Amino acid sequence: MNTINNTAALCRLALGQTLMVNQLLDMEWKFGVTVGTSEIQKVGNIFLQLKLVVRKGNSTENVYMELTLPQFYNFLHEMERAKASMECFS
Amino acid sequence: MADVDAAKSLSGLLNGIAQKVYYNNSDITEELLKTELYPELPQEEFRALHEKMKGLLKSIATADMDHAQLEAFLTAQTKKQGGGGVSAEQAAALSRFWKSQRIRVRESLLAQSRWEPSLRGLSWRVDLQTATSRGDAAHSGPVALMELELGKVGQDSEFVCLEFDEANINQVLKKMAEIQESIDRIVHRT
Repeated sequence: MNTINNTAALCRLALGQTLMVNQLLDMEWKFGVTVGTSEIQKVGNIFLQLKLVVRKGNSTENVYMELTLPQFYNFLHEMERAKASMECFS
Repeated sequence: MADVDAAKSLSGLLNGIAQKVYYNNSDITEELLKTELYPELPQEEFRALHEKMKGLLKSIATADMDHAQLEAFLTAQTKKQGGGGVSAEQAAALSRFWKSQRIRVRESLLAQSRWEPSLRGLSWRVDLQTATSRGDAAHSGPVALMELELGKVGQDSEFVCLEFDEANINQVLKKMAEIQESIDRIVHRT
């Protein structure tokens, strides 16, 4: 919980600057099916790997994540909700 | 009575092995399992039992055996000569254990094969800047702040905060639509 409050506070501080920090510059993705692992012989699992290229100040940082399909759909759903919220004010 | 106790101890042992090997519970150790479940058994005998059960569980989990495969496997194990086989009671305990834990063990193994952090959660808010010290708030539209909670199995979460204006968010949604199309192509093909 403390970490959440700290990050939110940092974001509020960041907004006071003229440049947008932590701006998403690019999103790359890789998607496929895992057919086997060293721990399970036969698998048929969809994987989705995302690489977010984020601007932090003057440099960029890559953030990597791997999503299950439900996580991807949840992410998409929240993005659409955020966009809908923004449209109320533009 | 003795049979019921033996069955309970063996179930406890299988669950303890699963906790340690598959569910990342570092509190469970071999010594703890011996003390709690088999206090009277000589050390060497317990070790052998522990290793045998661990090996059998590994074989079952690696193949993600269904009911038919499990029965065939356990029958073969009970027929083995010498000390390498299992008793009928042990086979029954393994069968009961796998019926209830198969899905959870599989999920855990799949999660362990994901080496990048996964998206554990996310929250967002949309802000409207009404004024800035530079006086240029007029041209700024709504800004979305999104906090992603990322983490790997067994590790603490890391939080990444991203900002989007309307153009950014449309770009991201466009990319996500491309991903969605790819998913639909594969899912419909299978």
